[in-house]
Amino acid sequence: MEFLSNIAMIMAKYGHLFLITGIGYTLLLSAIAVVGGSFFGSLMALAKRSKIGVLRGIVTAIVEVVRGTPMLLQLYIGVFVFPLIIPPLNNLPYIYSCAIVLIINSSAYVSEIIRSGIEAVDPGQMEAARSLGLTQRTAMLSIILPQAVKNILPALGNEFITVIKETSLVSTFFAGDLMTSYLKVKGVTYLTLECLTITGVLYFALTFILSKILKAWERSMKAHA
Amino acid sequence: MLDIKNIYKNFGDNHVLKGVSTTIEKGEVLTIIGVSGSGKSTLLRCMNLLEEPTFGEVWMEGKLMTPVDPYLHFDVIRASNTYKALAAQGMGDEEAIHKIKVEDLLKEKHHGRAEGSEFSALMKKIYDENHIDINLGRQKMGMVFQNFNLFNNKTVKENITLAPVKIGVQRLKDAKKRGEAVMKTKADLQAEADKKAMVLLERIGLQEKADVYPSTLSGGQRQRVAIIRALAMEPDVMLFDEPTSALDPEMVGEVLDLIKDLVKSGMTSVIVTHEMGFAKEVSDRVIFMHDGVIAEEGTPDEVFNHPQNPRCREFLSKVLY
Amino acid sequence: MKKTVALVLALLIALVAFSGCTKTETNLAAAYDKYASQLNDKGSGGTLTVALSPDFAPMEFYDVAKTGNDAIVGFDVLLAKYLAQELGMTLALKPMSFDACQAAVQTGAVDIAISGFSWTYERSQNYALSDWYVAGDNETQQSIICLKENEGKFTAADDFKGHSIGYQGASLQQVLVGEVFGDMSDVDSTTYVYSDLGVAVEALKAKQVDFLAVAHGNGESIIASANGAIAFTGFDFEVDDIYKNNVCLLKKGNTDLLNKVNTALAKALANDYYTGWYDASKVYAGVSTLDELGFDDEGNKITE
Repeated sequence: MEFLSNIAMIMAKYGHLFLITGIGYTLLLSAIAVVGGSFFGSLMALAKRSKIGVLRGIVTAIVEVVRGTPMLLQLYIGVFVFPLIIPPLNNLPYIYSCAIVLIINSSAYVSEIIRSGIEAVDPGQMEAARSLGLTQRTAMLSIILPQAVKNILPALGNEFITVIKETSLVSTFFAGDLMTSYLKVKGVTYLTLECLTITGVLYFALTFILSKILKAWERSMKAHA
Repeated sequence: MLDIKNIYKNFGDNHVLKGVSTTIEKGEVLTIIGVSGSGKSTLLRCMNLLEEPTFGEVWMEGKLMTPVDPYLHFDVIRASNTYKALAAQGMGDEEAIHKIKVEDLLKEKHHGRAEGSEFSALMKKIYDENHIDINLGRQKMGMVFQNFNLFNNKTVKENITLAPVKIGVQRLKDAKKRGEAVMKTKADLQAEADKKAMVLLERIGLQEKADVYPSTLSGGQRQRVAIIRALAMEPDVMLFDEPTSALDPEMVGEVLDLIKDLVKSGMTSVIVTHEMGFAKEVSDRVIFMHDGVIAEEGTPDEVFNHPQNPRCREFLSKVLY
Repeated sequence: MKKTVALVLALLIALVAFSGCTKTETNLAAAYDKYASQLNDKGSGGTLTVALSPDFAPMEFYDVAKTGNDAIVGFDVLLAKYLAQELGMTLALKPMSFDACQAAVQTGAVDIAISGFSWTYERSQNYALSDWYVAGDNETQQSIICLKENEGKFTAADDFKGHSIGYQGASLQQVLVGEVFGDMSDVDSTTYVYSDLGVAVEALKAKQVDFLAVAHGNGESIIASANGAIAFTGFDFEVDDIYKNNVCLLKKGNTDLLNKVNTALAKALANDYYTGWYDASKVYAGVSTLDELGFDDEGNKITE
């Protein structure tokens, strides 16, 4: 079938762009987003529990806005508005602005993951700890957070898989991820269906393999407890 | 030893406790019974401040655990602007105080200035002179929960030693800060706590379970560990919130036996329970709660055999079939 | 489950091993590279930021064998280099989607957008449009393509009555179809709008639409990739001069840059740089499907 032979031809000629560059940048952007997001998300979760009302308000506003607007819009703002505030971005490829936006976006979601992970811990645990005379801080560090982590880590894994798909939007700015590879090859060969098929299969393979790894890891954590 | 003064507790519009006062003497065993929603658990939880009373005060061994409640201090009421205004209108002392209390007329119940500087100065004085840090207060009170609440991420032994060690270490740090000579190390504290924990575990025959996680234990075992976890802090009073209500019937006995032992050795205890036979056997005093107030109070014999309050009679007839 | 994972992984590894590095057929990129090397786009008078959407062979597209912004090639890229040279500035290409290009100009994030834009009334209202530049036959000739079986059968406007015609949204073709076939809406004809030219091509192949209106140059690229399945109907639109060519987009009010750009464009037109650039770009773009689909090195189709 011509369709398959076209795919073979595309892979032979451009396979590198999809498999190495495309997947490579997609994984790299996703990892940066989730790792950076975890760091800032933790800070934001902490800030949300602070007694300083203004701090709480600012962080809540950021989280609500980031979770309530489309990622594409955020990328536009990152690419066109951030360089006005951070001049060095003007001379860097768009992938840098995109990475910053991805980190901010992930932070908002991660802060909610952390918050709900903490809230999912049985309130009785905190009550028992306080009843023994332990301070709020000790109780959080010794009892609550270790148990919250067990709730948070699987959710973080899911966030990573979600982010893999979301990074495809950076292709709007030809940032170099897997979807960008699709645009580049399609733009030259006009073989849209074939290129889409290849891209789709690769995204699926990525998320499929990662989901399996995540499930295996979750199982090993449950067995431990 | 434990003084509960005129406790009110509102959850929004829901008035759960409507003026409860009682004093628990050293070595006394007080049992609280009543229907669900009568406020018994809330009352118990107010004692160690897991719930903060809306009005009223809790005094533990002569120290104030809650904020100062101005309505319990007449001299403070007299220092308020509201009282002075009423007095200026010619109202008598008793009448004015009564009116202010009943109608909740004070605009300020803490250290603010709404009732004048004399009022707030006096409030602050009482607070500063009598208040004890809530954590310190709680260290002298042990609580046992209906759902055990053992720390899931710690072994049985760690559950028991966590608080003594953490608090002990903090005390050492504070002593060092004050410039005192510090004789022990954290390792010493841990070793001591471990030893004590093993003694306690042997007492309940669970020494083999020292290094397992609570999820592997039965309900009865968990509750007994929870009890000795509280005992490890060497409290002066133990609070039991329906300790056997979540247990399968065959495990109730072993837990009640442990509590009986405890009580017999002289531990001051406040127990909320549905186990009437048990209550009859161990209590020095029984309180029947109904609709947020103490409806019946007395010795076990008085309350169980000769209840005066019709609600109490009704309750007992249903429970003691 | 483990077996499936292993299988998928093995497949991926096989694909990676199988796919070689892409090499440009140097003899066909030669003409383009020669023009590119003659243009000095590294001036000292500041940076000229140019937005373009490199998914539109032969005007702008990617040569994946090259790296970085050098991989972006095409007629508009040569034009951009030329403008940078004439303005004495350093060229900075900013690749982004077609819509983003327009947004970039409006917000001032880039100085100019050169991405195969045609003149339309709306654009002239919202942007400062440069003078037109000639993009070869890409814009001057507007055609209708069809499946091979319909080749040559539809040569007059009335022939298309009762059939469906598709075009890319917000394009010149949309305007043309509206002008010529607008009164066909009450007969059994339908028009389809596509956001993406590639999608439109797939629809044509799948017989979801009978005809597509495209710029002639794009039509050639499409036909080249389609391996004989698609052909020109032979019908061409009558195109007003005003539509025939491309323009650059600048921010409204940016008169200073606009004047400089127009001066440079006038010079290019007078010296006829455009033809050479366009031919070289067409050859370059055709390369990617030429040898696989049976074209010889001259760009002629080898018939079986």
